[in-house]
Amino acid sequence: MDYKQTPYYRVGRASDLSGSDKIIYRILEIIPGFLAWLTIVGIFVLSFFTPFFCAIFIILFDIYWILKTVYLSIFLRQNWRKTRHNMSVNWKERISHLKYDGIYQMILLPFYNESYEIVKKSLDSIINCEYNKNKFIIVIAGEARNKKHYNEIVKNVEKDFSGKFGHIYYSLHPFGVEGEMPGKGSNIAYATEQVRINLLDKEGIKYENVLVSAFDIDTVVYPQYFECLIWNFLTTEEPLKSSFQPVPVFNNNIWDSPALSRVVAFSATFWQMIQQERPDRLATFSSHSVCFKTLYNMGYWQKNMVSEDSRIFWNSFLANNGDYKVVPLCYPISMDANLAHNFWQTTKNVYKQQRRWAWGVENGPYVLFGFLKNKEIPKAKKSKFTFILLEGFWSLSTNPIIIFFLGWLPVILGGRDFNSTVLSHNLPFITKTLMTIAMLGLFLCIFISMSFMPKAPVNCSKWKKISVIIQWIMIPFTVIIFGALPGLDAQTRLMLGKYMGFWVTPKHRKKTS
Amino acid sequence: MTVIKRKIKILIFFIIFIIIAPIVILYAKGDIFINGLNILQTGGIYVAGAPIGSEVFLNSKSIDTTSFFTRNIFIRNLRPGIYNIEVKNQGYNTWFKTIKVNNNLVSDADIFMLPEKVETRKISEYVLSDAGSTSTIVTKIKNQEYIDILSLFKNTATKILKSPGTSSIDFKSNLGTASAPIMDSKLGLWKEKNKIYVEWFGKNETAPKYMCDQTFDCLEKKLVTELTQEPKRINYLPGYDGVVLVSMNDSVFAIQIENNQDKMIQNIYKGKNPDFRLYDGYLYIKDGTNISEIVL
Repeated sequence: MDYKQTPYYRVGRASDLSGSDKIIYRILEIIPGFLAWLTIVGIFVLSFFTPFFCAIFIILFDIYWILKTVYLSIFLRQNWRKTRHNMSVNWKERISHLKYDGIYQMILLPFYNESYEIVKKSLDSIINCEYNKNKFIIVIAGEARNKKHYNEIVKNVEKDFSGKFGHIYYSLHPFGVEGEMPGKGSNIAYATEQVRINLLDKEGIKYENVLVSAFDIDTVVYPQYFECLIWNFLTTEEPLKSSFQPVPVFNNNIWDSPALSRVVAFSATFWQMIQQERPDRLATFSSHSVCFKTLYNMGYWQKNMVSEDSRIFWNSFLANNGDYKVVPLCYPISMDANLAHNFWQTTKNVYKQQRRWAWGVENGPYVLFGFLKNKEIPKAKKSKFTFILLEGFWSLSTNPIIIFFLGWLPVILGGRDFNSTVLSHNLPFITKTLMTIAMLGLFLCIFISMSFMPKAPVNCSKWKKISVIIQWIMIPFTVIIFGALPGLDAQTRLMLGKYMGFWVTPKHRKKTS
Repeated sequence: MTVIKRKIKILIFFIIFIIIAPIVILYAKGDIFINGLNILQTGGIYVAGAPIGSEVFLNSKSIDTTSFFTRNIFIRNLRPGIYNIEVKNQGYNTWFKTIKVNNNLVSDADIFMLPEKVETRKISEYVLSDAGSTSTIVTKIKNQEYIDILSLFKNTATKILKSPGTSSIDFKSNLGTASAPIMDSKLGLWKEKNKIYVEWFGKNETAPKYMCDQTFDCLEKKLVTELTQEPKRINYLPGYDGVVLVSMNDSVFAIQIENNQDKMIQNIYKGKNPDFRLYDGYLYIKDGTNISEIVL
């Protein structure tokens, strides 16, 4: 079965389908939000009607949570060691005996209204890379709805970087194309196709010899990123059925960002590091790389939805009947942590970014629907990914709320009969004790986050330096406000059919960065 | 990490979960292991409301001391039976109670401790007043506050002070009878000769703990205490739940409503012929011509 040829391959939402397919897809859209709300409301109901069983459930859940924390921290530590090691490896030497001279690196840098300063920093980092600059195809991909800004960026890039790379290609994504959602996906898909027509085909560059890195405009690469990428590309089994995922570290402007933003940013990095150690669960996220041939065969990134970064993996997974993987690079790239002109705006931006990431829940119905339609994918694989996806969505939106908030509910709603039991009196004590034990994991967070911190600016205050350690006590707060709530928000929107559009995270850096 | 290694890890964590979960649940329920794997169901006592720095004794053995961070103390893993709880704090009356502990249940020890020497503010009958800024003559005039409080002690008084708020406690000269009990929410209080009673007029599910036994079998009517002689006046002690204020011939004291036979009397005032009135949450005691506000 060639899933790519079916009408389901490029589905963005239920309304793209008709008949029973539309109903099934809509039900699948409802499921994540329904499960989350069922859990939350269920705990309220159980606390009221059967507080004893609810208390038992909460204790079991607390134990599960603490074991899960320990279990995941093993992966975090392991990936940190691997990443540190990979950063010290001489990748140039490692690839020296491989044949890679003919491989081009196509770098997609999509932007909308980000300043030239951001673009320049990304390009400077590529210039500072050790990879042969003649093999770079830099794609500056702007939006026609902000053409004036695009022209300014082009002018500046020309001035500063003309002749420094093999190719610099400028792409202006037209505005208002039918069936497209404005955003990164439609922009880079358009730009990649333009590069194919106007550059690769004209110059006779083979598709399999081009590695495409779809970056965010604030992505800053480490000196040997492309050598590391090449090594993984050339040594992995079935490179054309693989995407390559670096570790996104949001530390470009970390010293300028408030503690709240730093904690949320590092939490996202830690989660990606954990996922890198479980590659069979890994989907592409944010900046990632893939061979052009694969990309071309898949039809590039989907243009009618928000989370194109993960969707390209699921597109490929379904199109290859489940035979597609993400190769973890265990090598970092730097990006911006959220930072606005004031604290309140930063807080709002952090929430919105987290909600946009949580909107990755839109991939849930797409994949589950694909599993129903694509009979070629092994059932065991379908079951595994169904569980991984649903458990992931459910965990994100409910677990922190259960742990830090709903755990006390049986005591509050259980009534005096329950409140006279030893269980009622022990529940807060046990929950508190288990959470305190779980908080010991924060030491690991502190240690690893410190290792990813760039050198502090000269004017950095002592308080700021201390705050990067004590910031971690905010975790119980951030995990609910900037983890569970945006997750629940996104899932509820999908459940209600209130689809989200692409929200561009504003990039702001202080002059010191 | 290979998939097999990860699966082994998951299995190990699953086994840990299977082992830990029942142990924690049994502990949470109040079940403890004795002599190997034999399980003994236990109960507990929850000591609440003691002032900071109070030492809690269980069967004369010191258990813990309350602090700013641990105002309440939960005594766990008590075998079913009868226990004596005593709470001591320097400067306060000692509180004690005999408490029955049942399997998997928690008995409450709601501490009510008044200072040994209750603080009072004497309300002077007269105050000094100067005639004006240019005059050096100081005159002695009747204190308006004294006049207002005094009027509370007249049986006919109904409107005396400008009330800053409404009191839930009836301040009027209601002595409380079976047909017209003094009401505090749904709880009625009255006396019959030397006996003081409370009655719950609300639903059984909402009855206060002191009206019920541990299985929440609640009484509608309960004898608070039987005194040696008929009290002059009774009422609820403001600011405390389940504490009755009583004035006798030579004293005013508080008595906690208990769900057992322990009756702890805590003295508030000793004098010749004291009587009290409540107004807007404040307790006033008049003994002869002296009037004092009791600071609780």
